[in-house]
Amino acid sequence: MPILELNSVSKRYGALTVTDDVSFSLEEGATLGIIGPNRGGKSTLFNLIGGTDRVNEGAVLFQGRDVTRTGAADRCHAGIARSFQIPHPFVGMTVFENLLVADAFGTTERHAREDRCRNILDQTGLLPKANRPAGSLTLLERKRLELARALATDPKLLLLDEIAGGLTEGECKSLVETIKSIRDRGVSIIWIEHIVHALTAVVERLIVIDYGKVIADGAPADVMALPVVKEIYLGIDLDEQAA
Amino acid sequence: MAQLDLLSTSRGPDVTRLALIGVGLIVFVALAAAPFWAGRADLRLLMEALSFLALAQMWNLLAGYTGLISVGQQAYVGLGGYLFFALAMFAGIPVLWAIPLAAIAAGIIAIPTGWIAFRLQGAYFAIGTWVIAEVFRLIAAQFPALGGGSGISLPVALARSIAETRGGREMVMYYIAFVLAAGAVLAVWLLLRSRWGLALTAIRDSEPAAASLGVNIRRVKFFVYVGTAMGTALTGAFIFLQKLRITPEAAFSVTEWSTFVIFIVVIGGLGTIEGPIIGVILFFLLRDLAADLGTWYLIGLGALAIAVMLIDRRGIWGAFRARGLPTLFVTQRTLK
Repeated sequence: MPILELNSVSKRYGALTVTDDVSFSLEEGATLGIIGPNRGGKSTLFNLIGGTDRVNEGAVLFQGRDVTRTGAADRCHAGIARSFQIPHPFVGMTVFENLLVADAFGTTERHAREDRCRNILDQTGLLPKANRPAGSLTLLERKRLELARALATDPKLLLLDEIAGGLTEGECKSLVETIKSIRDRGVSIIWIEHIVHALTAVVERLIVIDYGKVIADGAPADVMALPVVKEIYLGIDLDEQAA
Repeated sequence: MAQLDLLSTSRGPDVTRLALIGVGLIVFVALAAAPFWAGRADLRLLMEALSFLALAQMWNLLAGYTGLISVGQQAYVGLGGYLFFALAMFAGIPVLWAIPLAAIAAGIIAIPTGWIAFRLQGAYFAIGTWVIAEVFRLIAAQFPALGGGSGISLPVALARSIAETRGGREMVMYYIAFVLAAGAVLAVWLLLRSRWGLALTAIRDSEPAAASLGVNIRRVKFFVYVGTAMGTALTGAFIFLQKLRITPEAAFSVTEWSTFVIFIVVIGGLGTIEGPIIGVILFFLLRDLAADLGTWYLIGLGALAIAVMLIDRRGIWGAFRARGLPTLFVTQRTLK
């Protein structure tokens, strides 16, 4: 049974169609990368899967259950976690407290588990900043906090929205390793990213979205070889980047 | 940020914090002993200030943490007052029992009222709460037994039932006000330190992120709405016991129970426990200084509120906090 299924999902804001008849499914434990031009509707898709926004048409199924009308909090409890492209830290709290929110409300455990939070902070490199106000973090640290909080909800499906942008080569490598280790624990992952070589190091499948439509879907090498994708990513050669 | 680092590693804030706690304790003890040092007029002023502190803490919890900007909390001040009069006069419930019972009854009424108000969002919610308060005022005027539109006084015998002497009554009344204010501060503090506090602060800082991390925003907001309605009604019941007379206009006054309370919280610092305390002190100082100025005093208050919002929206306490002043009521959880 697929962990996630999107059936003919559409989202409109007034006359603007941001998500246009999108269908795909993801097997349990699978990894999927989403690429496409900016403002092409990628983050909106995450809003629709995570429940921050509701579809106008179509259905969203999680582990076979229809969650189309389910709120974000209940989808989180079901096992969907996400990072926001523009980080939404709780600025009035410390980094540690940000994780406590996810730990105390995102999981079935009602009592805060400090050790669990500590491990996740360690894994995401935020442990030295644990007792700092989240408002004092740099943009890159805020992106790591997005990842850390999502992990603290103990997800089955993790939605990552452009968390590698702006990283140095070394930082990007360590992020890829972190995400690989999450994948290896059996968490399904959908990752929106512009840094294609980071993406292809982790995912086994790529979807290209433009103007809200799926224009390509398949193995990364095949997708990147398509003329339509080359047109979007003009001048980017997958092999050269990966080397 | 470098400045913050310096502050957190030096011993400066610890000393400042100790000084703050010291001042806080002195004020607390002085207030606790007020009936033994303050004159009758001062005691009345303190009672009023303490009532406003309780109201301000409630409004701050509602608006500062859940973002529910209500300009209709006078609905619950008035409801508390009227329910108290009804329970004490017609149900024969002892005066001191009628106050908490009025609050509970108001909380029950807040459940369907909130259900209606929650259909509305943002500015519509604000206007909706005001409309609801006006409806309550009109309903309150429909009961001839409660004096209709012209109001009613609490029978002398009921006031006497608290204590025989005037001094004794004032003592009891003062301590009710004291417990209300201290209780409101303590309740908000404990709430913020609890699991619910995490949710409230998260909602204050980012609703989409809070929801995505499993916080049921509607449920938290509803809980806070009903809780603050009860706290507000409790204070309202006391206010009209002290006044000994209630009219629809006084009970559901938007100026008194919403505008002044909002002023106090905004000036002091929205979304902090200390803010409403600072705001109440400032509000009563200003009122005392400018009492002879009449309407100009109100215009001045409005101008001051706008100035604070333009200069630093975080209010007085918020501005000090941002410059490194430590918190008095610590809610932060530290990873050791």
